[in-house]
Amino acid sequence: MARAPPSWGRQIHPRTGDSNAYHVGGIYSSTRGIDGWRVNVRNTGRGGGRARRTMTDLVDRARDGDADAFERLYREHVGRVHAICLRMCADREQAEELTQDAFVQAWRKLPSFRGEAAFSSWMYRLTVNVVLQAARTDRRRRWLLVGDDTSSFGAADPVPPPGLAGDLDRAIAELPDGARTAFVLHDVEGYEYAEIAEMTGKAVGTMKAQAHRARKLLCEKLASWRTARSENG
Amino acid sequence: MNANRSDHESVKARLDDLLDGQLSGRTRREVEGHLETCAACRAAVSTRRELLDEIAALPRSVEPSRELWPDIRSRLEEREARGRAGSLRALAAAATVALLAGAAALTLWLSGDGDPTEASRAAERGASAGEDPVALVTDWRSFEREYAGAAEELQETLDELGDQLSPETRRIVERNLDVIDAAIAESRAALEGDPANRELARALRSAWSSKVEMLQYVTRL
Repeated sequence: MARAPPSWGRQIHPRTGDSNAYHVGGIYSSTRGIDGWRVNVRNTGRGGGRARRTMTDLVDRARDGDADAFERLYREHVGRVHAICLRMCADREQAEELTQDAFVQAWRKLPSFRGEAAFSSWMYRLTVNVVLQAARTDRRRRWLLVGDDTSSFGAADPVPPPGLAGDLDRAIAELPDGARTAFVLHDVEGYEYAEIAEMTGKAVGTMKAQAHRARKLLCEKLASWRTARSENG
Repeated sequence: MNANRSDHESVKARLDDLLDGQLSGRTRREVEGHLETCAACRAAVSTRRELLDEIAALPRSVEPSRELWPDIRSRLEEREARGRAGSLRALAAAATVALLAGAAALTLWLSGDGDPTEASRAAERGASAGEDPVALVTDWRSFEREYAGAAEELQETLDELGDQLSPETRRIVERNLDVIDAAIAESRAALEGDPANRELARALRSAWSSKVEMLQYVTRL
């Protein structure tokens, strides 16, 4: 009889090997309380404090209206902000528009940023809100957030060439909209279901069901692509 | 056998909860016990864990395909350059114009002698092209919830801005919001009496849209 591993609910972070701070859903959630994924990974050791001070200084200067300081904040965070927009809306052009909107709104709201959270956490949360708000109010961007998903997600879709933009990101982009929103926010961005429910105005159970549905669909989709590839040699 | 089958289905439905770390105590022990004996469930967990590993390895940063900073910078500069007086005039005009079309449809309906075609045209002038009329009628409570959520967030933003808005701006905003809120209330009351009326649904949407657009506008000032 095969035995289950000692703890089915824990996972080792693939990059750091850290098991304590690692969200069981695959998310390194503790980074959200520090200073962002990239800064955190890069600034281990003695340089970390200096980098944080630099970030605080940039935020202070930008809050006082220094556009050059804000440009440096933009350069530091644009990749992550764009990734959030792209994965949530699954449309390159709209993701770039929303990325711009997020930074314009961040500039406007900086005076209300009090520094209780890291700037990166504040910026990413603001980005998610910009995307959700656009989905609610802009008719060009009326992706369904949750619920009545009617978009198809068939295993019979054409098999993408291997490695092109990554199978997983392609499969995420093809998820039904509501499932994609819940999945990206929970499994990719690491927000708790309760936080996602608050952000979207939907029930916690609904968001959880959508994220679980997304996992199931993704497993099926990826398996079908990989099987088709191995059969085609 | 049936009991085993039922255990299997109930555990299968909880595998994602297990992976989310949301099971504890007896339930967790039951699920883990089942996994020791059920190869299919172990395989399902293993597949999910592989997926979660792939997710953890996704690039957290994806650079845009073009340089966005120049556009952002010019939007910041435009905002700085816009005169506050000019902004206020535009704000008042935008709110009034957006509201008029919806109000026209509602007035025609309330007076009871409006030409339905004209009412529809009036409403369409206030609503953007491309909306689905069937969804509009059947789903007005749903779009109202969404607009209300957005308006609430914007209102919070507006509240955060506090003293940054001049008293004159606040007066204009509050006066317009009062007018729009009255239009929303009238449209909603009319729709509750005549829920299949497409023109009323458009009037309601138009009023909500005016509210959200005005709040968006003023929070960008």
